[in-house]
Amino acid sequence: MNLSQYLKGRLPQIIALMLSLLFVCLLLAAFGHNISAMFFACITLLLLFTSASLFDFWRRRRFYSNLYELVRSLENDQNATLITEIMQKPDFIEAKIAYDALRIATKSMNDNITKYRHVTEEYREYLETWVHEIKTPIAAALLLLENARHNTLCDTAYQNADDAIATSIHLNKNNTSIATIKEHSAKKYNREFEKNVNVSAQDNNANDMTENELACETMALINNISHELARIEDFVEQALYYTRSAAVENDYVIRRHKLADIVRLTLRKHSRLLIASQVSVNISEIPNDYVVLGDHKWLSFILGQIINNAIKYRKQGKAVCCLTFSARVFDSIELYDYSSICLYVHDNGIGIPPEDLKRVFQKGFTGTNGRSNQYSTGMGLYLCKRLCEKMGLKIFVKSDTETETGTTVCIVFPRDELRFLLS
Amino acid sequence: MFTIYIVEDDKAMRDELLLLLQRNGYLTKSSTNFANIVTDVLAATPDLLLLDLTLPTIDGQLVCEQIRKLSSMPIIVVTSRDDNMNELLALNHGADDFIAKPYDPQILLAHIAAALRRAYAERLEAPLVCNNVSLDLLRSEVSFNGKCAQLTKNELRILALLIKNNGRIVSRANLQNDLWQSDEFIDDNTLTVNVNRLRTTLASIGVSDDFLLTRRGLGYMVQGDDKQ
Repeated sequence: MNLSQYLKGRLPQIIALMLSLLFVCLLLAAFGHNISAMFFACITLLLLFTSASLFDFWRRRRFYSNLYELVRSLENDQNATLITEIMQKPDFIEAKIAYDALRIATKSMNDNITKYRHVTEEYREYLETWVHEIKTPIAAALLLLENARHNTLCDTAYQNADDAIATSIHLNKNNTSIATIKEHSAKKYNREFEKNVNVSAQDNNANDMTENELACETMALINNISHELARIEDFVEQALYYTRSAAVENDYVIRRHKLADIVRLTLRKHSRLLIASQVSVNISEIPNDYVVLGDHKWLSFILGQIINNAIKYRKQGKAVCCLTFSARVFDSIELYDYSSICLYVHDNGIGIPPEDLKRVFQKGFTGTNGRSNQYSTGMGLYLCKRLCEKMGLKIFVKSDTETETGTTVCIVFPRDELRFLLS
Repeated sequence: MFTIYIVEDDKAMRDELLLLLQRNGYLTKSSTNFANIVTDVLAATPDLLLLDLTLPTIDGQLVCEQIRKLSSMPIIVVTSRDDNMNELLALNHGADDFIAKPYDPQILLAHIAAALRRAYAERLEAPLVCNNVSLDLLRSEVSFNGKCAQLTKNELRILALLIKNNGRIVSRANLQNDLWQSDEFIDDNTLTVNVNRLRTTLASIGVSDDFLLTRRGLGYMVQGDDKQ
């Protein structure tokens, strides 16, 4: 607020003053006073009016410029609604009214924000508990399948044993040991073993082929179910990391880790899926002495998402899916002021069309590939990006569908020791 | 034979774990009453404890701490609460290992075997024997009727897993998975090559061809000892 703006606002008063000065002059002239009396009266009035206006201007200016600065500094602040708590209280009536109005409005806004923050926090807590609860049945199902797989292979092995007598000895032995196992499973297995005894009493060789086929079918079924379970597990994991990435407090610990160790850990964790999808993995290009800063669980999750994508978007047909991990040191690149380690995860999959490339990290973006693949949620890479940002890493994707070279995901770890010391 | 005590409150989970461990040659014990779980575990004198953290009436962390005060048996904490805080607490309270649910059963078995190996090294030095073929894990040697041959790391692991599953089929995926757990990320073709090389090595010391069998579409198996 400057003087001219202020004067413009007070134009009616100024005009009224001018008119009243004119009137006083005329009145004094009518009563026959001389020019000096008129001059004296005008000067006195003008001086009084100007000093009153100047005081008023100074008072307003002080208040409004303070407020303006405050508003400017709060512009991008999430606590801007708390402005009435820190602003100076006005001592003139118009501003008082405005202040009261602002106070009431921000108070109701703040109450609302607190309410929703509570609701979100409660929901987040519930979701986290839920994720932990759901993991027990998944683990139980995995164990069930493992035992069923074992059972199928066991049965077939006995079926195929050359000596029928040896087989029945095995079966009897197993029958007795099985009896000690909990009832519900025991019933099932006993039934199967009874069947086996009947079969082994007949000519074993005649049944070899069909039994083998049956076992193959069962194994395929078991493998399919474990595959689906792995996907459920993956989605649950995603939900957990989504809630965590949105949390105000961070539950990650930035530590020094060997890059190769983290890659190995992730590969071990996803071994079932990778083996079932017949992925050929090459990690020989990560030097053993590369050390990066980050949280190992988060990094492992991020790499897991990238691995899942590579499997999901592999080329259909005979071509073997290849996944290559490599790493390089950049002394100084445009990405960071300091040197950094870049991890490349390259696959030979279907690639990402150039028009989708810029948007792959957006929440819920599924793209051309995603629309033809019903399993896409558009959450995986979005979460990777968010977690990377929280840890201060950069992540980007390179892909060229024309040359059909697949997709490369790069994660850049700055060698920023300061960040480590701060956390 | 090692005895493993399972502290787990989920019934389905406990039953399947018992079955899995029994199948893999361990003796198992468990309890359904968790009020005096610490004394129960100690009275059973197991070789290893599998401990769930979320138990009714008592906190798993407390159980871990109390058992560690009175015994040096390996404790593996298996839990669905896999945040850093719980992991740190469990390890500080004396747990040897921390595995998050849901885990791959094979990985659990590998962790159990590793914990047992660390704690009872002297009990495991005996070579694995099956049909007179004996496998020395420490020297990576296979011997048959006095002749012996060196094995590579991969061949050793493959043969060890097959002999441990004596008389049962081991699927190719399981073999691959086992090798992956020792950071050998081999693909399907490499496994075939490794198995063939193992066959050649076995043949060179006079083991008959039908010792290591291929079950089409299912996997491999070694002929079990009939004497058991």
